Amino acid sequence: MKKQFIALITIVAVGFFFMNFTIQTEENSSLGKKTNFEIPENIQGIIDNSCYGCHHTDSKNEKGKKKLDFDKLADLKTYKLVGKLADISETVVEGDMPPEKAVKKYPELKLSDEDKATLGDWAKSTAEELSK
Amino acid sequence: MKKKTIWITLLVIFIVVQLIPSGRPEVIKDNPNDLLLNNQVPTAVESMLRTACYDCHSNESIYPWYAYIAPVSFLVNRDIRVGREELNFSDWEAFNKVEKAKLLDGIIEAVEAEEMPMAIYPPLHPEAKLSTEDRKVLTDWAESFAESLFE
Repeated sequence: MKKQFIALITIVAVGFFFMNFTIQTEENSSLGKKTNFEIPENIQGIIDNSCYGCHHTDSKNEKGKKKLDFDKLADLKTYKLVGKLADISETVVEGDMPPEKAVKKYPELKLSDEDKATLGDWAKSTAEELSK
Repeated sequence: MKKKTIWITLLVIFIVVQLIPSGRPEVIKDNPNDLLLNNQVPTAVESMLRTACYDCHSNESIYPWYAYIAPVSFLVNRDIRVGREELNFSDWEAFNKVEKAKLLDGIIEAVEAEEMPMAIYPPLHPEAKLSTEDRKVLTDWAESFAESLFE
C-alpha cells in the first residue's frame, strides 16, 4: 500500500516535471524567433538566381535590401517573416519582381512560369504554416 | 475676340468635365469588421488612424468640398480607390492572419519611411501631419499588435 502510494506520488511528480518542461518549450518557440525556418534547396536555387543579387546584406541596392534581405529573413520576428513571405508570393506571382528593367539587362534573372509558381506557392504556404 | 474665345472654350470644357461620372468610392458608416470597432486601440493611435489614414484606408472617407469638382475629384477618387484596395481598415476582421501580418508590416515600413500619409495629404489636412514621435507611437503600436497575433 505504501509502495503504491510512493509510486503514485512519483508518477505525479514526474508528470509535473515534464508538463513544466513542455509548457516552457512551447512558450519559447512561440515567443522568440522562428529558428525552424529553413529555405529548401530548390527554392534557394531560384532565389540565388533571380533575387539574391539585390536582396542580401551586402547589396549595393539600398532600396532592395531594405525591403527584403534574404540573409536576415530567418532572424525576423514571426509576423514580419510572414509579412515578407506574403509579399514575396504576391510580387513574384504578379510578375513585379525581378524588375523588368533588370531582366532586360540581365536575361538570366528571368523567372520561368514554373519558377514563379514554385517560389510563389512555397512563400504562400510557408506564411500560412507559420500563422497556424 | 480671340482671348474671349479661349475663355469660353475653357469654361465649356470645365462644365463638360463636370458631367463625366467621377466614380466616387461610396461612404459606408456601418462597418462591422472595422479595426477600431473590434480591437482595443490606444486613444492616441486611434486618433492618428482616424485623422491621418481613414480618409483613404477605410469606408468612412470624408470628402472635402473640392473633391466634388472635376478634375480634382478624379485624383481624390483614385487615391481613395487605390488606398482602400491596398488596405481597408473597415474590413480588418475579414483578413486572415497572413494578410494582417503583411498589412501591419507594410504600415510600419510606410510610416517609418514617411511614404504615408502621402505628401499631398497633410498640407490639405494639417491635423494629419505626423511628427517623428507620432510615427514612433504608431509603428510601436502596429508592431505590438502584430506580435500579439502570433502569441
